[in-house]
Amino acid sequence: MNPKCQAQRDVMVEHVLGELDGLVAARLEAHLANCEACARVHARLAEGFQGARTLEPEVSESELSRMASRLAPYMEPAHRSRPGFGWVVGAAAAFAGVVAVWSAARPDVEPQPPAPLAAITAPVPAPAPPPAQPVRHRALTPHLKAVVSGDWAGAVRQPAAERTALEMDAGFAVLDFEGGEGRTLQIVAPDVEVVVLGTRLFVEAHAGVPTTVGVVSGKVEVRSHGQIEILGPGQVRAFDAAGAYTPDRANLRSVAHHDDGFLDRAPAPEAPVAARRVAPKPRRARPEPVAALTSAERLVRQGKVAEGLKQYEALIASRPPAPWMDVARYERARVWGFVQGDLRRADAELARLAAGADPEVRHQARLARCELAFVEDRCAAAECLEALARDPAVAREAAALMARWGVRGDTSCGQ
Amino acid sequence: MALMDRLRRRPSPEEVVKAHGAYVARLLYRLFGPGSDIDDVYQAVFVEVLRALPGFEGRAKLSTWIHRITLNVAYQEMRLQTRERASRSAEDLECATADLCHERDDFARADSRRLLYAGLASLDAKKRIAVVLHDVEGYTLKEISEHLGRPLQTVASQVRAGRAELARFVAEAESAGRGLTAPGVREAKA
Repeated sequence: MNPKCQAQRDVMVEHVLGELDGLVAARLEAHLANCEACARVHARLAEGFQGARTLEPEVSESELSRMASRLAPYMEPAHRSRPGFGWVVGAAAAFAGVVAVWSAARPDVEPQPPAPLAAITAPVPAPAPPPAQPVRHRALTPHLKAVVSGDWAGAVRQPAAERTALEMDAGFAVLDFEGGEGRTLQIVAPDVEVVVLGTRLFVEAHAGVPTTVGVVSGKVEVRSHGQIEILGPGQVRAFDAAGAYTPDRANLRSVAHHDDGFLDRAPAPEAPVAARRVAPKPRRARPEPVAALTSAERLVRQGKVAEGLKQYEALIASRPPAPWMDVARYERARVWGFVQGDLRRADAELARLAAGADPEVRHQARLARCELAFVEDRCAAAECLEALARDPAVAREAAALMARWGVRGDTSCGQ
Repeated sequence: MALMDRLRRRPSPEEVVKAHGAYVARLLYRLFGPGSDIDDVYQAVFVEVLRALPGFEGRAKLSTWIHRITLNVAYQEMRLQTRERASRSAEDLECATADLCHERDDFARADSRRLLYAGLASLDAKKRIAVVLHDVEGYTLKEISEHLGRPLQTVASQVRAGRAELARFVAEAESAGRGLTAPGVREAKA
């Protein structure tokens, strides 16, 4: 290519976009007048940018529905209350079932993903399983426990209180992650990135063989080279640069080898799991959260404080989804503090809510704590609200409260 | 019941997808070019949005927040595409962008906008996102610098270098389409 053309093409886009002026622009324009090839390129660029900048792509309803349908697995409520003992029983049953199925080595009974998100086809032969290693117990974080093989190599990073990242280079690990309250776990292993949504799973990584991920209970999202797949209980996939496939189950023997009860979140039930399941405790009907909250508030307003509190207690005992649980606790704390005058108890509960995961609940609880302070110490309350007024998330509400309580610009506390 | 009212007003995942799905899809088409396969990126955007929604502080408008997430996910996808391209064989690299592989002989007739997007797709991710945001989406260098967390001078030089590469790409495609030079759309780069 003519070096002159090369030099002019380096500034051609600037000229097309009207950013070039003076001598450089004049030189380019003179060159374009004499060079047909560059003039064509210039015209193409001008036309291309004009088209791109004015592009208003049409997106059909059918296209949107198709793409939205792929999001179905993610549409579940983000915060679920964690069932207590029932979870342990369920997880134990799921784990026992999974191990039983895997041990039976029946390759034709692999359950299908709930909603396959990408075509999973790669007939790669499965690697031979590594020999069983001695196991080690690791409590990696308060919410992440692992039973790992002797050759396991990994490290935990916690860039934020709710976010945990586990980098795993080699070895075999059965992991139990307790999700909820906004906690997330991301596992990065060769060829694979796993987003854990609160579950028990295993990851196996060895040099030269595909990384394998299997789920015992719960659900994980696995990303590998642009593919995303959701794995549910009993599903195992191996991932390498060529894609994902269902591996030989031989490595699942290691799961049984590693599972020695360390990962259980509560003491093992005394009676056999089956017996527990045969005679479940009768469940009380769950109250509908919004109706129950409205009714409780009405009762408190009518002066029937004890009855209102009872309704809040009943709702909290029914373990509604996270936002409603928080609202019930918040409203109950307000009744304790502002109606019954039990400031210590109310403040302690609001402090717990103010440290929670939900930002809306957090902000309201912080504001309520400041309001509560007015009962005893006006200056402390004013100081509290002034501090909140500096936080953009609650500044407006804090200012409104300061105006309502008449402490805006109040200098008496400073004397 | 202020708290309850606020929480009740919080949009559900379905509402978020319904309200912002078309906007995200259109933005992705502008970033990747019309006719691109945006399904996976679209999904990744909303997976990210829905995961972070309970923690959405409301300091920005929801649409602004989703816009930022879309740009971040799109950039990650561009990086992935760059890596995939780098891992292809030398033969594949000769026609480095999907459109060109199929239609390199048709460039004389090809739509200039598609040619431009093919050229953008041939850039490495850092230059590509900088040029797309600055020259197509109309962001200022300062905004891009803040959004991508890169120094202003770095963004400026990435835009400049990306533009020069883009012009070379179009020139080579033009020549190849008209049979004026050798067949390669652009030289393979590892």
